[in-house]
Amino acid sequence: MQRTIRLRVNGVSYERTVDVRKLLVDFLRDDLDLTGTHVGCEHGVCGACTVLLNRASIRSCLLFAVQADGAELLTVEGLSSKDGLSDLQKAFWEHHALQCGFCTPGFLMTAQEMLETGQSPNKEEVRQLLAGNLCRCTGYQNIVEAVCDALANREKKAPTGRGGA
Amino acid sequence: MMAVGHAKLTGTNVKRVEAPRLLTGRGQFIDDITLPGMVAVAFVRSPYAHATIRGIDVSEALQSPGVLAVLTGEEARLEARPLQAKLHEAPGLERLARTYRIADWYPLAFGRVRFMGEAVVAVVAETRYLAEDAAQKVSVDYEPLPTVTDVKRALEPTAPLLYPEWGDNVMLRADSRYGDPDFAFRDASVVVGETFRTNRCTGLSIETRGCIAAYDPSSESLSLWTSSQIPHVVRMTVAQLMGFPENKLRVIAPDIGGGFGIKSHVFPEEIVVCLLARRVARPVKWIEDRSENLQSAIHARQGLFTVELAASNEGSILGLRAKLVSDAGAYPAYPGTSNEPLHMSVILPGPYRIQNYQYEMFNVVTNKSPLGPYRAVGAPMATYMVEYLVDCLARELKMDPVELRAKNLIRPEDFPYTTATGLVYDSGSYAESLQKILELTNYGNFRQEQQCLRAQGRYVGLGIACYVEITAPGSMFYAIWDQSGFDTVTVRLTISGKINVETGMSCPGQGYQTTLAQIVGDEFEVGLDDVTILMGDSSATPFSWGSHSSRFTVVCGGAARLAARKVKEKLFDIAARFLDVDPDQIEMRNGRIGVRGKSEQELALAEVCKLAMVRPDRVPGSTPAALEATQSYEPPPLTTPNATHLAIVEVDPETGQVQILRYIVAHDCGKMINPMIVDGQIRGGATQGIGNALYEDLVYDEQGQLRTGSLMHYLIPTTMETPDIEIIHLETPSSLTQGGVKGMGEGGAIAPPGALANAVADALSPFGVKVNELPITPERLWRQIQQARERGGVDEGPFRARKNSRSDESGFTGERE
Repeated sequence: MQRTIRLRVNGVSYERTVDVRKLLVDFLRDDLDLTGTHVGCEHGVCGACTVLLNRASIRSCLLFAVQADGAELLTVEGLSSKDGLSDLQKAFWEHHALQCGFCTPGFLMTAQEMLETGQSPNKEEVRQLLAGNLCRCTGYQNIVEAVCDALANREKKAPTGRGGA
Repeated sequence: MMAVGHAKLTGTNVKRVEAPRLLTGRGQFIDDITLPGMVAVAFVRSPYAHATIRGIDVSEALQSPGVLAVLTGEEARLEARPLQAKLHEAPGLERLARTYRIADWYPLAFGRVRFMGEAVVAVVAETRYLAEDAAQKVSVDYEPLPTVTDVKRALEPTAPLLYPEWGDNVMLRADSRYGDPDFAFRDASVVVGETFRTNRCTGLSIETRGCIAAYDPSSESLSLWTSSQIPHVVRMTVAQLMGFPENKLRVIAPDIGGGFGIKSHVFPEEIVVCLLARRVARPVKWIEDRSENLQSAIHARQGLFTVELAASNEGSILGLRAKLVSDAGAYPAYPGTSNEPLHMSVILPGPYRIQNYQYEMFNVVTNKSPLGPYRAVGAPMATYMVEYLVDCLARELKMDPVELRAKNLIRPEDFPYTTATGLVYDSGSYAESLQKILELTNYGNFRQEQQCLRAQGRYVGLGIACYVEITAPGSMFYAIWDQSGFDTVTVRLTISGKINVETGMSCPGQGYQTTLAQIVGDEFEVGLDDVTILMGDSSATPFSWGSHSSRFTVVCGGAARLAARKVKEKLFDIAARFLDVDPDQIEMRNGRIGVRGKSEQELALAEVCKLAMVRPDRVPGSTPAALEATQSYEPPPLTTPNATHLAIVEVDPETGQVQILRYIVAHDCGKMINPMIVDGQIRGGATQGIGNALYEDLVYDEQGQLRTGSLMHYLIPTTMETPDIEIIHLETPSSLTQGGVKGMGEGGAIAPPGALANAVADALSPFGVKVNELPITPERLWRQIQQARERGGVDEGPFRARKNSRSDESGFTGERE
C-alpha cells in the first residue's frame, strides 16, 4: 500500500509516493539519496539515524516516511553551506570528535538541536543530552568538548537552507 | 626565491583529512553504495542453536513478490568450499598444528546448524523489504539436537557433540612448561589462585557488516565491495573457495564504520553474496541488521580460566600456572582460528619477570556464535587475571600492590628481555609508567582518605593494571595461520610533483589517510595537501594482510618510508645528472632538490618530475623510468608498547553500583605520529574496556538462545558511563622499527577490566568481595556484600545515610588542570 507525501528536507520540497511501511531513514537514504543519515540498530537505541523534524530531534528509524508528511526536516547534509562547514562541524574537526564517522551525523543533529533551541547546558548537562547517541570509537570525551565549544561560540543564526549536497 | 622551511608533520596534531567528508554526510560506507540494477539479500537464520536440517521448502518464497532467487546450503556447497580455518605447521609449533581439529563452516548451513543465527538460506529480491517478506516464507524442517553452551559441560564425556567425528568438543588443546614451575610452586611461601569466568563480548561497531557483489558475465569478472579490514585476504579466500580466478576478482573496502577486529575475518556472507551475484547477474547487496550482528558477528573474550601465582614472603613472584579454557563457539573465525587462547597462553606472564610458567589450554566448541579476533585479542583477559592475582597476592602478603609490582616488573636494565615463552621485549617503561601515574594521584594520601571515607560508610577503591602488548608482529608470528607479517606500499609521484601512496590496507576509522600522509609528507618535505592515500582496492593497491594487530603505523608506515626513499633516490639521480654533480652532492631541502652548499643550484620537485617523466632526453645518461617505487617491509619480530591504567571507583554497598571517579592512563607507544589520534585511540579502547568490565555480556540460555539480542540488552557505554580519561604520554622508541614507532590502536582496551576489578576489590575489601567474574555487575557485588554481612565480622563503621551521593567531595575526581 502506498501514499503520496510532501515534505521539505534541508529547505528543498519533495513529493514522493512511498510504501506505507517504509521507514523514514530508508526514505531519506534510498528515495532522496541523502545517505548521510545512517542506520545503526533499527530499534531506536544507537541514535545514528537522528534527524531534526520540525526542529525536534527524532529517531528516523522509528518513524515511517508517511509520518513525516508535511514536515520540515533537517539532516546532516543541511548543516554545511557553500561557504563551508558549520561552526559545529568545525568544532568536531578541531576537537577530533569523530573517528570512523558513522555515528557522527546523529551526534551533529542532536547537538544542532541544542544550538537551535538556545539552551546553555554546562558540560555535565551536555553529557546527559548526548547520552542517547552511541559511539564506539571515540570514548565521547572529544565529542562533549566539541559540543561545549560550539555552544560557547554559537552565533544566533538560522541553519542554512540547501546545504552541502 | 626564499623557500619556506618544511614544518614537520609527524609528531604533530594534524587535523584529519578524512573529517570533512564524514562531517558533511559524504562518507561512502557500504550501504551508501548503489549500483545500477542492484538487488538485496535477506538471510534466513537458524532459530535453533543445534539442529539437523531435514529439509528446506523454498517454493512459497520463490513466488513471493520481487524475488529473483533463493539459495540453500546444499546448492551453495556445489559452488564454494566451506571456510576451513586451520593451524599450520610453523617451526616449534608442529605438535600444536597436529592436535587441531578442523571444523567446516559452510557459508549456508549444510545438513546441520550449530548456533542460533547461523545463516541457512539466502533470499534475493528487488528490495530488502521484499527479501525479508520472502524469507519469512521459507520453511526449514529442523530436528533439534541437544545443546551445549558452557565449556565445563562441553568438556564432560556425556556432553552433546558439535562434531561427532571428533569424539569430544575440543578444537585445540596445548600445554607447555617453561623453567621449573613445579619447583616454584613447591618452594613458594604463598600461592594465590582463582577461577575466572569471563563474559562474551563483541566489538559492536556502530556500522554493522555488509557487502555488495557484482558479476559481469561478459568479462566473467567479479567485484566485491565489503566493510572489511582485510580486503586482500578476502579476495584471496573467496577466489580459493569458489575456484574463481583471482585476477578477475576485485575487492574494494569503502569507508568502514568501525571494525575492532570483528571485520578482520572472512564473513560467510561475503561468499554467499558472490555466488548470488553470479546467479542473478545483478549486483547483490547485504547489509547486516543489528539483530544479525549480535547473533552472528563474531564474539570474543569468553572462557573459564584458572590461574595461580606462587611467591616468596618478600613478594618475589616465583611462578605462574594456568588452565585456560576458551569458549570457541560453533566454528572458528577464518583465518585466525583460536587466536585468543593461543595469544593468552603466550603472553600471560605479562610485564613481569616470571620464568617459571606452565599452562594447559583448550579451545572448546559450544553452540554459540564463533569466537574471533576483537581488539587486543587475548591480552585484556590475560591482564585482568594476572593483575587481579597480583593484588590478591599483595593483600595476602600485606604488601602495597604498587610495591609488589615494582618488585617484579621487567626493569630497564633487563632489556632486551626474553620472556618464558620466548618473546623478546626490546624496550619499554613498565615501572616508569606506574610511577608517573602515582604521582598524578597523590597515592601517598589515598589510603588515609580511603579509611576516612570507610568510616563514613563510603567505599572507594583504587586499582591498577600494567601491560605490555604485542603489536605489528613479524612473519614468524603468523606462520601458524599460513600468513606472513610484511606489507607492501607503492609511492608514486605525478608530473606536477604531487604524491600518491597506495596501500592494500583498509581503515575502520583510525585516520590512516592522515598519518600515512604525515609520514610520506615528511619524507618529501611537502605539505599534507600534496599527499593522497589510496587504500583497500585490490585493483589499485599492493597486497596487504590488512588492518589488525595494531600493525599499520609500523608495517605500512615502514613500507611507505622505504618506498619514498627509493623514489627519492631516483629523483636525486635525475637531479644529479641534470645539474652535473655526483648524486651524493644532492639533498632535499624544504621540498626542493639541490646541490649541498649551493643554494642557487636547485630544482623544484615538479621540475625534476617533468624532467624524469616528460623530457628524459634533457637528462644526460638517464634511462626513462617512472618516479614510483613499491617496497615491502618485514617488521621486527615484535614491537611492544606498554601502559599502566589506574582507576578510582566508588561502590554503593546498598546497590552494588560502581561509579568511576577517576581514570588515568600512562601510555608508551614510542614515537607518535599524531598524538591527537593516539589519544583518541586510547580513549576509545579504554571505553570498550570499561564496557567489557562493567556492562557488556552476550548471554545464552541453556537452549543456546541468545537472550541479549538487542541494544537494550547488550549495553555499551554511553556518555554517562564514560569518565574523562586522563592521559600521560611516555615515549620509549622502539630500537627496531622505522621511525621508532610502536603499534597502539588496540591497547586502550587491555587494562580496564584489570584496573576496575582491582579498584572494586579494593573498595570492597572490608567485605572480602571477589571480582573473579565479568562483567562486574551490581547484582554480583551486592550478593557478596550481603553474604559478608550475614557472616558477620565486617567493620562498616557508623553507617551514613546516603543522599544524592556526589563523590566530588572525596577529592578523587581530580580536576585536570
